Amino acid sequence: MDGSPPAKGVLERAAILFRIVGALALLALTLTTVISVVWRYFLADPIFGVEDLSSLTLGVFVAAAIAVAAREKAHIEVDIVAELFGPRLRKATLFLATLVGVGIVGVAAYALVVKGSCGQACGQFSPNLSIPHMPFYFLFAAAFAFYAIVLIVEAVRLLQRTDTRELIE
Amino acid sequence: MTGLETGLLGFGALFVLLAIRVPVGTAMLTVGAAGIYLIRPPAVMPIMAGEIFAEGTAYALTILPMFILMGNLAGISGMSRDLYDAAHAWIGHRRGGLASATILGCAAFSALSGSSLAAALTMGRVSLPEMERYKYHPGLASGAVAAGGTLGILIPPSAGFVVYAILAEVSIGQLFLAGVIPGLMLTALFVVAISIIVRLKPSSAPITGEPAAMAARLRALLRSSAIVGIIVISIGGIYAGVFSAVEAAGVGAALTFFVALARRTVNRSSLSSAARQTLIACGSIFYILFGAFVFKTFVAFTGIPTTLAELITGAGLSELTVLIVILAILIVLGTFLDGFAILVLSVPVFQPVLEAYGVNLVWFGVLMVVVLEMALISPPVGMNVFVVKSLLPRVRLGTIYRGIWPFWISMLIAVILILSFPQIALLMPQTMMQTAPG
Repeated sequence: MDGSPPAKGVLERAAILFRIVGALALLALTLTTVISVVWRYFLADPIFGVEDLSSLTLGVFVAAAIAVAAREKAHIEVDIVAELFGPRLRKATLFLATLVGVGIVGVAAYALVVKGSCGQACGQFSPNLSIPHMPFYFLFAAAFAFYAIVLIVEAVRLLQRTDTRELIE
Repeated sequence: MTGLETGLLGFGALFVLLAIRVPVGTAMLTVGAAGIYLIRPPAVMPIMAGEIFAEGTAYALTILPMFILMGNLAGISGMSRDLYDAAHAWIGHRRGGLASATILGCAAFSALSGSSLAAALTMGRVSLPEMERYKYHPGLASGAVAAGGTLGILIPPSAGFVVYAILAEVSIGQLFLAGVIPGLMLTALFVVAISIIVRLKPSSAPITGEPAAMAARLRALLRSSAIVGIIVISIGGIYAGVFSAVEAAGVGAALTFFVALARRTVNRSSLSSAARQTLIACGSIFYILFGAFVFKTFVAFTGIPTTLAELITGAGLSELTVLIVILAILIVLGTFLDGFAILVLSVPVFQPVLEAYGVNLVWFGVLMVVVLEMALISPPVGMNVFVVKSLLPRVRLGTIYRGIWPFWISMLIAVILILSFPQIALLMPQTMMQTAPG
């Protein structure tokens, strides 16, 4: 499935979008921090609510980062005993590990949507500028949902794979 | 099932999941969520979503992407090359000088980057070809890069310190300052280790030629002065109370960008690459943090930390004995677990024990990070060793591990020294100025 152009193309386009959003958030985060320092020292006037802006910009960056790391398969694994497994067992455990990932990441996305939907009634807004948290919850949910889709594609690819030799590498 | 039994079952399940290569964050999220569901079913969804949002938008954690960006910008803009060249010009001609220059280059690069892997990869690319050219023994060359790279998480800014600070709820700024003297001490111990190796086996590091002329040395030093300036401003700014740690990260990243721009070493492609690398590194760290905080809540629900603290304090063990036992456990865990995994797994369990004994958590944080450094080069799962192996595909893994032992012992000596003389870690944080707001 991953090898087929449509699935690969859609995932790649989504990943590029997350990369762009993440890079812009990183730029905004750095600028916000530098501007707040300059404002405080040179204009002797701390910017009210700058922590709210930084925190929520970080949220945008982190959501994008989770998705980008998922697409790049960069989430850290630990090789304790899997190296000792043969190709078949390794394929089976890898499939199981991927399914575990799909399950928990999917649940996390759902939990974020549920909690985010509660909105301001649940006190979900920033302390100083009262920026609503809802869109940021949904962005996190989107990142986790993207991660789940990447893992589903990976699971299908694993099932389709007949040659297990490269799993040993 | 009691909370304690659920907790022990949870730890067992976690190790099974890690063993089948479930990513660390996924394993902790899964066990944490399942465990919370078993103890307090209605709490699981709000806790999961709440922890993800809380950590993903924690103001203190804005430090991570900015310092990682700073390191990536320094890497792509050739600043690491300048650092190595400066060290090379001054000590490269001595026997073992290239290996020592690698250590010094790594130490300086570590002050720009919070990642050990980035330090090993960046300095390895610069220094390994040089050491190969002068017929350095592959064990010494690879050992110097792998060990030098570990300084990345001890010398501030350090991703390891940030994660520890968030988990243990201590000041990031104080931890950064606490890492300075131990970082310099460990750098010196590595250089001493190299001089002992080359004295015992001179053929492992042939003399590379005549010393550089003073003018060339000064030129090399001048080229690296901008980088030294950034380090002094960002870390010195924290010490002097001019910046908070978060502000120092933002200022450091901005200054690194402007220096790179002035040197015309960045373009659209390299900037895009630095942003992408920052996203990938932060994505993997934050995902582990999400899992760690859900898992930490589960562990707290089980009552394991309190029971453990009561058990140990009731046994009448001394503070030193407890510390040594904990550090020994961490060293053993380091042989097969990733450093971040050890950090997020062990802090929630050991913190109540340490608090019961009144252990200074900043001091313990430094000890822990040095032990994590040991984990990065300990067989069979030493991440920095794998980085060096990727740069030296022809060198056997066994050769690299044999070359690492002297550096591993240096780290053990550092642990003993910091354990014996806490002021090595605590002097700077205790004398730091009032931290700026924010």
